Amino acid sequence: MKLPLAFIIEDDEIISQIFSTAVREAQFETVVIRDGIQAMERLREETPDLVILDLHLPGISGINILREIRKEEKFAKTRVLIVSADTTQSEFLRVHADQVLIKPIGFNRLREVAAQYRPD
Amino acid sequence: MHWMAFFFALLLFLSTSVSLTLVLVTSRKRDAPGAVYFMLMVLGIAVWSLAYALEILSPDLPTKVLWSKFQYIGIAIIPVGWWFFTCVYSSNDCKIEGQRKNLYLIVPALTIFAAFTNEIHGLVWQQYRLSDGVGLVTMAVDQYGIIWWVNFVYSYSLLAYGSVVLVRFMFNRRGAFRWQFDLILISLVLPWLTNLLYLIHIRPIPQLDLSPFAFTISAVLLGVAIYRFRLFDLIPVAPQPMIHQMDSVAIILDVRDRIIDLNNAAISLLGGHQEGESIEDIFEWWGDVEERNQVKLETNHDIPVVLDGLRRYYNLQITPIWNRRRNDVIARLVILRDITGDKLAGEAIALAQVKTEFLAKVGHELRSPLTGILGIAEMLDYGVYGPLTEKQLDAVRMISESTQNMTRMVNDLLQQSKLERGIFKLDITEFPLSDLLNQVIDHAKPMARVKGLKLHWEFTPDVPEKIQGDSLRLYQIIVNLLDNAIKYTLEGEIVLRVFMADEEHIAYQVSDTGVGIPKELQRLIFNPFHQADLGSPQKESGFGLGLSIVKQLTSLMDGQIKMESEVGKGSIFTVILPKDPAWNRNI
Repeated sequence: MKLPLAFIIEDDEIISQIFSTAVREAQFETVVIRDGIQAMERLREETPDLVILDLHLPGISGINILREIRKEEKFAKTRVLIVSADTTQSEFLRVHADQVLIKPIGFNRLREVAAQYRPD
Repeated sequence: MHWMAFFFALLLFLSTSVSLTLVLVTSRKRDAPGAVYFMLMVLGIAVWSLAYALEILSPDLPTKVLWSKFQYIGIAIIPVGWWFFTCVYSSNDCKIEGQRKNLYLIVPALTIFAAFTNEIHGLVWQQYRLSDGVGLVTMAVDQYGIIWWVNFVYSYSLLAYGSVVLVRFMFNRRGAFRWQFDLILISLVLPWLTNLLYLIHIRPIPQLDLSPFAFTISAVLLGVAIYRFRLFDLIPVAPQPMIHQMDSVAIILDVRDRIIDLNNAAISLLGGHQEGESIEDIFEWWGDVEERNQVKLETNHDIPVVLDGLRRYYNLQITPIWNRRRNDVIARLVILRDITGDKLAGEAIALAQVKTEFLAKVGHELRSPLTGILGIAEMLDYGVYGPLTEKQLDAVRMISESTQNMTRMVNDLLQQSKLERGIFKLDITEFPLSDLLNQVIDHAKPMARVKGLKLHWEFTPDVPEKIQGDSLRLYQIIVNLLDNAIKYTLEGEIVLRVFMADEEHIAYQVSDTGVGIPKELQRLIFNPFHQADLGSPQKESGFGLGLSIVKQLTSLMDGQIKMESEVGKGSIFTVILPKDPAWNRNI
C-alpha cells in the first residue's frame, strides 16, 4: 500500500530530520526540502497530502509558498501545518493554514498532530 | 545793582539752561522707564532756578515775592517727579498706577495754589521782608505758614524715600553699574548735604539758598549717568517679579556678555557670582555655544553641561533685547531650563525599546535550537535510535524536562516582549472550562509530586460549563500561578479553586502554604523581571516574568488580580475575569 506523501519544508538540518522522523512515524512518506525555491519546484511536480512548513526560508518565504498552495486547484486536499518560531506572523496565518504550531515543538507532539492529518 | 546779584543770577541761568538741555537729551529716551518723570523733575529744577534768578534781579519786594511764587511751581514738582522716577525706574512696587498717581499731586497743587494766593491767607509765608545782605537782596521769610510746613515734610519724605528706593536698587546691581552707581550716589548726597547745611545755618551767603545749584549739579550727574553710561538703555530689562519667580535660570547680559541682572534661580545656580562678571568666566561652556556671537538672533538649543561632576542637560534660549529707537541690541536675555529629567526619560524609553526588541530577537533565535534538543531527546525516548537502558532513559527525560523549562522561559520572554510592544491580541473562542482545568492540573501534578506537595482542586457547580475567552492565555495565567505556588512552597498543599466571584465574574484562586511575601515586596512582585528573594533554599530559575505576565494578561481580559500573603503562612492569588468578556457583549 502506498503511503501518503508529506513535504517537510524546513531549512534547519537537525529540525528537518526530527520532523521528518516524526512524520514518518505517523505513517507518511517524507521529502525534506531545505529552501523555498526548491520547495516551489517540487510542489509543481508533486502533490503532497501534508506540508510541514517553516516560515523563514531562504529563497522564497513560507508565506509565499502557502499562498501558492492555496491558489492552486490541485492542492485542494493538501493539508498545511505551519511550524514556526515567529509567533507574530503565525497568528495571522492561522486562518490560511490547517494548523499552526509554535516552535519548539517536540517529536511526540508533531507525530501525534501529523497522524491526525492522515488521509483516510 | 551789585555785581554779586548778576553773578548769582548768571549761575542760576546756567543751571536753568543745563537743566533744559538735560530735559531735551532725556526726551530722546522718553520711552525708557521713568524717563518722563525724570524730565518732569529736571523741568522743576529749571523752573526753580529761572524764577530764583529773576527774584534776585528784581528791584523790589513785591516783584521778588511774585518770582518766589513761581519758584514754588518748581519746588513742589521736584519731589513728586523724583518719587515717580525712582519708583518706575527701579520697578519698585510704589502703587502709583492710575488714579493713585493723582493723590500724590494734591499737596504740590495745594502748595502752588496757596503760594499764589498767599496775600489772602498767609498760609505759606506769614512774615517776610527784604533780606539785609549787601549786594545780594532776596526775599527773607521770618515765619512760615502751615502749608509751607506741610509741603516741607511731604517733599522731604518723598525725596528721602525715593533716594532709598534708588540706592537699594542700584546697590543690588552695583556690579553692572559701577560708574552709574557712584555718580548717582553723589547726585543724591549733594542736595541733602546742601539742605542740611542750610537748615543748621551754615550758610556761606546768608541770603542765598544754594539748593537750586545743588539740584542742578545732581541733575547733571544723573544726566551723565543716563546719557554717558546709558543708564536708561540698560534698565528697560529691569527684572519683573515674574522673571524672578521663574524656575528657569534667567540672566540678562549686556552686549559684552557681562551679567546685568539675574533671577533667583540664577542666583542659586551661580552661588557667589555677582552681576558685572562676564558670563564666560562663570560658564566654561559659554565659549562653545556657537550662537553666542549671533547677537541679533533669537536662538534655542539643548546643551549638555557637566556640573559638579554630573552631566546635566539645559535648554538654552538667548533672546536679544532691542532698543527700538536706535534699532540696536542693547542686552540679551539668557534662559536656561534644566531638561535633564526629560532627556533621561527619553533615553530610558529608547533603552526600553532596545530591550523589548532584544527580547524578541533572543526569544526567536532560541526556539530553533530548543526544537532540536527537545526533538532529539524525545526521539531517543521514543526508541527511534534503538532501545535504551533504564538509566539512559532517565538521562534523556532529564534533558526533555530541562528543555521544557527553558522553553517556558523563552515563551515568557516573548510574551513579555509582545505585551510591551503592544502587538498582543487575544484570541476569543468558546471552550469547555473543565477541559482547560484538567489540562492545568495535568501540568501541575507531576511538579507537585516531585516536591512532595499535595495538590487539591475545587470547582463549584455554579461555574458555567462553557465560557468565552482566550483559552490559551487563561491556561497560561493559571499555570503561572500554580508554578509559582509550587516553586515557593516547601511543604503543605496547593489548592486551586474556581468559583463565581459574583454573577458576572469567575474567580480562579490559587492558595499555598509557602514562604509568603513580605509587605514591602508585595508591591514589586508584579513588575517584569522582578524575582522576589523569599529565602527559598534553592536558587530560583526564571526571569521573574510569571506574575507580570499574569497581571498584564488579566488586565487585557478586563479582569483583576488580588493577592493576600503572610510571611511563613502562605499566599493566595485570585484572578477575577468577566464570564462574558466586554468585547463579546458589545458585538
